[in-house]
Amino acid sequence: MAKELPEDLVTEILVWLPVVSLLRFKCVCKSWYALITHQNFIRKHLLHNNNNSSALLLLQTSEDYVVSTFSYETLQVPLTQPVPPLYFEMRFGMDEFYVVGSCNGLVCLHANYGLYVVIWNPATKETKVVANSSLLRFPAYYRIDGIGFGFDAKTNDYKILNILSLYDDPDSIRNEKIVQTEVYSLSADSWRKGDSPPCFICSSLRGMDTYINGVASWEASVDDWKGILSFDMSDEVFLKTQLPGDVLNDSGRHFFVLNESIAMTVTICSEDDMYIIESSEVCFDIWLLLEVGVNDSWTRLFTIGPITGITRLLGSWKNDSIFFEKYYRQLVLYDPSTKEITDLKVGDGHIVSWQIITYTETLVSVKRGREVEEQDNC
Amino acid sequence: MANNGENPSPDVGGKTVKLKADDGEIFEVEEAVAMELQTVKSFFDDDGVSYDTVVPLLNVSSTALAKVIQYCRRAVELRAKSGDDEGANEKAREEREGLEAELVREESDEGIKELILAANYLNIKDMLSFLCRAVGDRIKNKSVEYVRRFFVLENDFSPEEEERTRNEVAWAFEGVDAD
Repeated sequence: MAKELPEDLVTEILVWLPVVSLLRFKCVCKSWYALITHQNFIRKHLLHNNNNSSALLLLQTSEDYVVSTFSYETLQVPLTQPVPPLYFEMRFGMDEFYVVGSCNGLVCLHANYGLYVVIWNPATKETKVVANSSLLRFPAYYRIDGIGFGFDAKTNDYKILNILSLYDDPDSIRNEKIVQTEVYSLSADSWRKGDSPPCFICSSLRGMDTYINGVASWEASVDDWKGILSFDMSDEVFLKTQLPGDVLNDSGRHFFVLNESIAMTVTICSEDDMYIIESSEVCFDIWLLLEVGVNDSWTRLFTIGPITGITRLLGSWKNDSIFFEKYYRQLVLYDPSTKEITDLKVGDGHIVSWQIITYTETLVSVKRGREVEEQDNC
Repeated sequence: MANNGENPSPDVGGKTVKLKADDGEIFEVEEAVAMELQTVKSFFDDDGVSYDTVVPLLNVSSTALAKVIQYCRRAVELRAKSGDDEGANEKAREEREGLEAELVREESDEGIKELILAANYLNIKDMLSFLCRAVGDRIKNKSVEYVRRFFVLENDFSPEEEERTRNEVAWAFEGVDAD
């Protein structure tokens, strides 16, 4: 006699499935449609997948933008897809857009020029274009200092933070600068004016330097003070943390996430070279900030190197492994426990730029209200 | 899926527990193995229940129970092998994965569903987890029709509704295994 499984056991099976299968199985019957689109299941599936995060690689080649995802287990690139065609209308030139961040399977993209922001779920292929804020009227000139994207766990909402410098006169960029912020809420689909930050972003990325558990951070400074500016997506408050004195004279500082904390890498060149070239031997000192807002909680963890041929650190992944970029435009994965370096073969053709972020496949919807209990509307 | 009536005999020495399947067949099992079944553990956690009591497992067939006991016995052995040594742990983990793969490989769809129901009823978390994962692997590239047959589900969509739902994610139907 054929056995039927109760819904709770069906759920235990479905959480293992990739998003593409789940989307297809919405068609099995009405109860499965309701189950798969229900927020409870989406959250369960998300939590289940959080342990299996893959890496998302946004590649800009001379022809196109593509996105590849690859898994930690295989280090293969099983899936490459073009970025949704929506953005091809924005062709201004090189470095047209970049990834602000990724959270719960949603990826936030921003065009380099203007305030064109998109929230995208690569697994469900849904996109949402975020309407421009109407908060800025005067002055007419602005520069985006930083953009953050994250999740407010208290209200189950996704938010975008814009930090903008406004000028009366574009020619006197250094004078009369006012910094304003605004926060976008996906569930409200609207912007709201935010507090002024206590320091100024000086990060070369405009997307976040790090994003951890609802807190976005950037390298920042004000007068002689150098440190990290952080923004909590739930409380919508700014925090600042000063950098340790030891690193203030070093350049080549980059920030990334390690062990769910803000980590900083400082490039130290062994030789007295003015410029770091391919054959230079460099070391990377890795520091960890144990608690945001607590200046004393910076800890020097370990050093990588001396090593040659590495241009920059891109981010960390599972088991503390770290992505590096090697000369020229090659991606490698470094395992600090074994000190092994694995070359990852990515991208055909000439790569103009790339970005790598950790990413988890989810069913999270970008449309406001879609995840709410679905009535039997089939 | 033949039930060869295998009733795994317990090790010499050590306490044993008697488990009774739905058809009345009694399985005598080492205590350590029986305690892998949280349902059985809870049964004895109650005050005043003597270890001589036969545990009635009314929802589990003897076929399924035999397989569960066999799996749990080997899982207990493997757990005993691992310890602080990372090499030993790694080996034990690989062996356990081999054990899991072996268990599901030969099972028919009906058999695996029966094992899931048994593992759920007997409350064996690890077993339930890998069984569900195995079913997930079996169905993930399959068609909607295959899944309906597997789970014994009726298509209660109207043709228009089904068409509309399919079109929402037409790309998800590419590359599906032929039935």
